Amino acid sequence: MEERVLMKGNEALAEAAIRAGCRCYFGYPITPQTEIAAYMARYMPKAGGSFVQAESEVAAANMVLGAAATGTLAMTSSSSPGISLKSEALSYIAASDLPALIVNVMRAGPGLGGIQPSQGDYWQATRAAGHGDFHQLVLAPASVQEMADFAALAFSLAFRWRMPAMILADGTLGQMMEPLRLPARQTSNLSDHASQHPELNWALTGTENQRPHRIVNSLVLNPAALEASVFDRFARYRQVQEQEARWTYEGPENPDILVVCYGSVSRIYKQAIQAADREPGPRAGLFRPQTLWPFPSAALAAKAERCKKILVPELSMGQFCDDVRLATAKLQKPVALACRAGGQVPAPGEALQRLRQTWACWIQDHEQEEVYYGDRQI
Amino acid sequence: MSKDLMSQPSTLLPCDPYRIFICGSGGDGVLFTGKLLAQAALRAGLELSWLPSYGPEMRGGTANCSVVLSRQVVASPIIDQADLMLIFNQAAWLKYGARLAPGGLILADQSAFPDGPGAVKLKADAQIHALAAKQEAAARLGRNLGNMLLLGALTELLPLFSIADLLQCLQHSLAAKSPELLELNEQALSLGQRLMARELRGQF
Repeated sequence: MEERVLMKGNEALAEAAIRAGCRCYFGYPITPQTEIAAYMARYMPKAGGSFVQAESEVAAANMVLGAAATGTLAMTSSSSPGISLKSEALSYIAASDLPALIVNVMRAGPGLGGIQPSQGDYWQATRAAGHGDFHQLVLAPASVQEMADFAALAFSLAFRWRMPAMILADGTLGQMMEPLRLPARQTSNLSDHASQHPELNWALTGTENQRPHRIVNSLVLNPAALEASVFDRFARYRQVQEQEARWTYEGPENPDILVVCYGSVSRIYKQAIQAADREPGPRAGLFRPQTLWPFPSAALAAKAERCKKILVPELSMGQFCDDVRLATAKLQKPVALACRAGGQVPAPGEALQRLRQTWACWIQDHEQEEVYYGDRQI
Repeated sequence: MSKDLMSQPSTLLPCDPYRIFICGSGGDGVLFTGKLLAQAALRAGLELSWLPSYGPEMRGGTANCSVVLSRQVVASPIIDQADLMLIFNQAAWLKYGARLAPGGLILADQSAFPDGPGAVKLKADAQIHALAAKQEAAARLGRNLGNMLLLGALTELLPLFSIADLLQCLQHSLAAKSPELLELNEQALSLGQRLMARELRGQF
């Protein structure tokens, strides 16, 4: 087994991507994800791959489109404002049925916003990564270990389903260091020339006058043909939703409060739940989606059925809570939402207070729904 | 010693999780100090998290980092209270001092308390120690190594890590750059330890 090493989340992700076989990185610096680009600049050439600091995020994302079309494991990374710039290419990548990895280490928005951690791009990642009818896989790590593990997972899912995969992290996960065990280097992997892989029968590897040429394209001017291609893609998405949802649950079988959150926020609430367990009061369980698209709706509903109340903390204004409400709507459980924005992150003490408040609320009135805006209650 | 620590990491920690907060200004070596503690914890077989302040703060403003040590995988890397605070100047003390947990320990450069540490009102059971770390480092070593002096002092106060543990970690990060720098860091660590030992003798 690999030795434990100490790395920043950004660096662990970059190293794991190289080990997974990624051989093309295109990027443009932006806080708080620049360590990914810096790491790639140093180590990608040593792995025999290409690192390009593009002239802009738009260029970098379109370079990914080009590299992905050849069957190469290609990726880009950025933070929130930069991801908005990449969204055009994301739509083209999805429309061309190409696998690629896009990393968003979220910072606070809207606009240029700030540089501190946020989850304000949830809707963008899961709903509107670009124009048109399409989805991308969205993986949400909650530790430096998962920053590394999800790089390989993202590439394997992207190639399996021929669609872009996004790792949706935040400034805390990118900047923090934790011990991790790096995944082993892939020995027989897709970083070989794609022509060696017969299953990549779409990749532009050069015909060498041996086979008919292939076309990677997103322009379909015939409405019937375009509709058919969208329907086919959505049939594939249904399979993805059935097969690829991932989550973790920690807590009692029948929790009083079901805390549902993802990413770094789940770490803070885990601490708060541990503290709450040491005192009399409600027992809480922690449900953490590891995939945000596909959203683990069925698993969440099964857990929510056994709880009295749902608490959804997020570093955004209820974007994630929308999906929790959709997944649990039929159960009619009261849902409390705890928002932070602007790069403000709740500390474990605030999280513990939210658990107590939301339980006190439930005791008073089982139907009541409440929203916490930081320290402001409305 | 490090082999014993590996088999019984639990003996190291005054409490679990043990929350450390380091704060000062850009150039004080705040992040590096935390990194060294994190590396020492890794070698000791502990779980840990290290979380820096980032962005404009790194370019000359205030800097801080949180290090959480535990026998179990760390839940929250974000802390609102600290069991140990390393403080490099008065601005950091004024901004973050309230984060000290009950029973916590402060180890500071003396510039943090212009009226002396005795004038500071502390929470119940808290302890405070201040050393002329930056001044001594400049005078005796001719370098800005106040952070290493404080770490050396820490080894005298707590059985967390020994100077040998810290040196082993330093070797990895500094040896390649300059053996001379490594030597200076070693001197700074043991100077800090000696100063703290002297201060403790003076107290009792």
